[in-house]
Amino acid sequence: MAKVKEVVENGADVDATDAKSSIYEVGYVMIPSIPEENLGGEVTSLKDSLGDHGAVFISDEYPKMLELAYEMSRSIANKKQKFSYGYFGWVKFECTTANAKIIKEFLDKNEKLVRYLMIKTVRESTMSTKRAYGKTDASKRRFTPKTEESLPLNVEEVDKEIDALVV
Amino acid sequence: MKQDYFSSNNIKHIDYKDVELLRRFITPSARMQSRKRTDVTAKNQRKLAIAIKRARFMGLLPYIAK
Repeated sequence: MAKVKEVVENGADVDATDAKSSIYEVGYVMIPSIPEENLGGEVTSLKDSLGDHGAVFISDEYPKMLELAYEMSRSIANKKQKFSYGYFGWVKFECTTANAKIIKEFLDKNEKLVRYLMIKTVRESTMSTKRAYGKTDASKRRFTPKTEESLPLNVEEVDKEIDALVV
Repeated sequence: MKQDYFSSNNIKHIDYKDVELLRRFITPSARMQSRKRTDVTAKNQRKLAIAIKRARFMGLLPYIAK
């Protein structure tokens, strides 16, 4: 397929595919050895680096310590390390395709990250609301017999009825 | 009659971070459930499979559980 090219005002040729911007989301697991008090600084530096590469932030979530579902290994400074815990966070941003490649290369080199995942997504939130869980699944809902609403007891009437039964 | 969970709950995008939701569609041994069991549409089953695989990669879900 022939590449479509467009000429920008300063005369330089730019690939139309590279100029097209998309919404990306980077989910990452940071190494657990980072102290809690330094975590904010690490996140800020990561976001600053993404911003330097042309990312325009949409939303993000601050990393939280998480027990990983399985042990992960990553070689840091030529030494293979294993991790069972990590700080999981994510950031959603908009950038061009060309910048996305650069960001990916930057994240590959980042030794503070155990693992990361960069995906294309949509601007709006993709998390489903909590109310959805198990509430509308009618097929699995247990049948609970309706109990009659208890009326306020009249002690005298009850006593009379008991007396009538005894006699 | 089959009822798609995602359509009935108006879920358009299946997020890999939504672990609580994804756990509904895996077996106790962490295998993905078949479409026969999940009762979701083919399109949503494909989206679901991608989300589960992404969650596994990020260590949010196990590849296999005892």
